[in-house]
Amino acid sequence: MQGTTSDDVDRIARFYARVQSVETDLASGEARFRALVNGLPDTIVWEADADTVDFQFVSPSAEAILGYPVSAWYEERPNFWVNHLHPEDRDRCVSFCKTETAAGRDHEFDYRMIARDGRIVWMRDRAYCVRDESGKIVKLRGLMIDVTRQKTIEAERAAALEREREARARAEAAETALRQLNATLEERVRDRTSALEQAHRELETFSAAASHDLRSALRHIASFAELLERRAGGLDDVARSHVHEIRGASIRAGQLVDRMLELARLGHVPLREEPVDLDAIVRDAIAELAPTIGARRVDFDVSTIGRVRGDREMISIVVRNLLQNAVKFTAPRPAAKVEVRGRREGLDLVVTVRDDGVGFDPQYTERLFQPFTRLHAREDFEGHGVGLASVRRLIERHRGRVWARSEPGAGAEFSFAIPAAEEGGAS
Amino acid sequence: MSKPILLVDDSAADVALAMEALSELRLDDHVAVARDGEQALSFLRRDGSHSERAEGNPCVVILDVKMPRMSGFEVLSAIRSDPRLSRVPVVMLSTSADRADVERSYALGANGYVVKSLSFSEFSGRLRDLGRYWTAANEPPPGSVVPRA
Repeated sequence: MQGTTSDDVDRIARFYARVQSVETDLASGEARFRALVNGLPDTIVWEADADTVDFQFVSPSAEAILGYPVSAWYEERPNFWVNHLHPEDRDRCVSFCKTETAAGRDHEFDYRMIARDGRIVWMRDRAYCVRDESGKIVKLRGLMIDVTRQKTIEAERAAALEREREARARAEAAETALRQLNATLEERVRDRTSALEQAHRELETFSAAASHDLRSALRHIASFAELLERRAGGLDDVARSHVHEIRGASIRAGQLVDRMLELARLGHVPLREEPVDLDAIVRDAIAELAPTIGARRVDFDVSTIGRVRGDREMISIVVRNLLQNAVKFTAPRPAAKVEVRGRREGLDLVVTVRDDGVGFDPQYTERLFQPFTRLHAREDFEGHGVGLASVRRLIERHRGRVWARSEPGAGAEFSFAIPAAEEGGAS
Repeated sequence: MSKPILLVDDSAADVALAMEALSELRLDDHVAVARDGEQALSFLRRDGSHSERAEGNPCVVILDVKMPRMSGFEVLSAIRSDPRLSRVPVVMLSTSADRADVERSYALGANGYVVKSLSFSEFSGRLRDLGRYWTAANEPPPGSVVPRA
């Protein structure tokens, strides 16, 4: 056996120095590891037995995150982790962990734990299998990361999305309901309109039938009164004049019914639109009127008017009525003048009939065009108050308008405007 | 009996007025009257109560437009679709000169259209003209009954 030499001492010293330096390295490594593990505020680093899942190490951050002392993780039985899993997640997590470990797979899963103060803490757990030299899994090591904030944000986002989806669904439902309401509203309007039209048709049919019967009765009264007059040898003058009155009154009433029937008919007969030469219509109307004027003089001053698009018969009635009115209301004058003028106004032709007759009070202008309205006594001017109402109805059926201007004693002016007939290239 | 004129009108008063007008021409004896469409067709076809009637169509049928049950238009259609009657002149008689009624009458084959005017003198004038024309001025279709002079 050799004695201890200074070389040996040196060697031993160097050995210890190395040991020391290794120990120092180890100590500083462990300190680094500890600092690293403890410095993860949201993460629990853990180690557990692979079979029993008894915890062998849990980093101190566990207490900060869940509120239980770390010792509880080691001491609670059967198992701290299983005890404090959210009841709804417990079976799923335990079974998942077992299956994955048995299959030798590292695994990751999310679940809820109940903290000491009752808070729910969302964990994202990553578990790694640790094997011995023979390859048998002996331990599980892992990280439980507190993802509560992330989950809350996700949940809030999901809730916001859900609210948005619900709001959109509500809006769509409201829109559908509105569409349905509109559809039924249109249907209801259609039903009401058709009921109204039906009622209107029935009323028209009824009044037409009643008017015809009324006219027949008036005609019989007038006709038999006339026959009575003819054979009234036995009647004195007074009786004969009474019979004459009966006849006149029934004829006037019959004429009123005729005008009513015509007004009603003009309201619904279909328009037969074609180009209508107004100059010819005015000429014909004047020729027709001339024999009714009698002894006095009426000068017609007619300019070239043009063509309109409309129903010839209806336009003729309009022109005839306006000219008849002009002649009628100039009756007190021994010599009267009636002017007829035409001018283009945009797409319309405006026709004006002006007379120098008695005129009318402008405040009654609107009433002029109402049926059965008269502004003068029957004794002064014959008529039923239907002519101008017919004029308005016929012009309106042609999508036109009619108006009047006057001063009492200063004559009257009646105008109407209806679409002009388009003539090849001319404007 | 066969007559040169057949007047068809449901109204007793209208028949009386028409007869009054025709009497001025001394034609009233030459008028057969039917009070509705069925009677008119029965007269023209010589069936029913008219089966004993002598042969011959009237020179003119004066036919009221508005009648209960069978309208003047329906009677006119029946006349025009019967080969034995299709040439018989028919003049419609109406309370109004409604454009649609006038057109329909001519479309169905009427030979004339007369409005029952409110004034009797006007009406009787029209009816006299009508009677004179169809029974005297006009040469009726062969086989028609003409008034004996």
